[in-house]
Amino acid sequence: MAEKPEDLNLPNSVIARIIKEALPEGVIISKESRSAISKAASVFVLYCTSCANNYALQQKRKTLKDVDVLAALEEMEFENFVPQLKQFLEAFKLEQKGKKTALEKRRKAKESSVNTPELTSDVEKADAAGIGAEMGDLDELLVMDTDDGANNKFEPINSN
Amino acid sequence: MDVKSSKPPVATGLPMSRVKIIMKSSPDVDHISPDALFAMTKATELFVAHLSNETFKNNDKKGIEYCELANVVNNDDIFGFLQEVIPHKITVREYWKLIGKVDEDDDSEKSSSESE
Repeated sequence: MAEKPEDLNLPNSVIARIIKEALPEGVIISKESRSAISKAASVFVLYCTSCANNYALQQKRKTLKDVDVLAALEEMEFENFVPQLKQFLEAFKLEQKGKKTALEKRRKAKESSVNTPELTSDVEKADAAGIGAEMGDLDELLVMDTDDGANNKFEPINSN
Repeated sequence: MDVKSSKPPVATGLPMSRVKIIMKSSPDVDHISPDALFAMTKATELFVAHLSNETFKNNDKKGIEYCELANVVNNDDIFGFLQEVIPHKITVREYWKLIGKVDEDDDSEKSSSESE
């Protein structure tokens, strides 16, 4: 797959912003410097990827993992990046987990609409209490219309 | 490098899609996990900030010029992999001397302004 030259470059606007945020106010960066730093960033990715890949291959893995990237940074003597990166990764993984859980929830709810309804304990409680739609303490709730067994109807209810 | 907010930002400034393209251009790279891609993107941002900072620290001026960047890259071992990317600039005359086109004793002409 041939890559166009610009595909290996990172967007100048973002690079400029990162440089600006890293330096005190009022510091001027020449266009040439900005361009050079952008190229350096691309080369950094290439070099870091190469080191990380070597590490993964050593572990007999074909998939690059975050530990490979962290190991590569240590090898490149950028170990001072590692603690902050670990924090970022933790937050990232939590967010991904949250997204996954939400997706699974929806999927299960969808499945239960096709098969015999397997109500969650919360929904059962709601039915038992005859509450129905007023479950303000739950983020999302799927309520079955149990009047007509053949006509399964459900609607998501957001907490108020 | 200062993180502006106390909460670690999960969003990346650099587009992960672009970083992935660069990573994939490396030979023998098969699959990249989302965590690895995120880590690489964030690391690159930290790198850009670090390089900018190092250049600024070493020069007590109000701005960053290319020559200062080249100085940092060529003096600090940690940036060794960038020496061919951000080399020192030389004049055309110096280049000719290097390739032996001009007699080294012939310094009657002043060197021209810095080549770009």
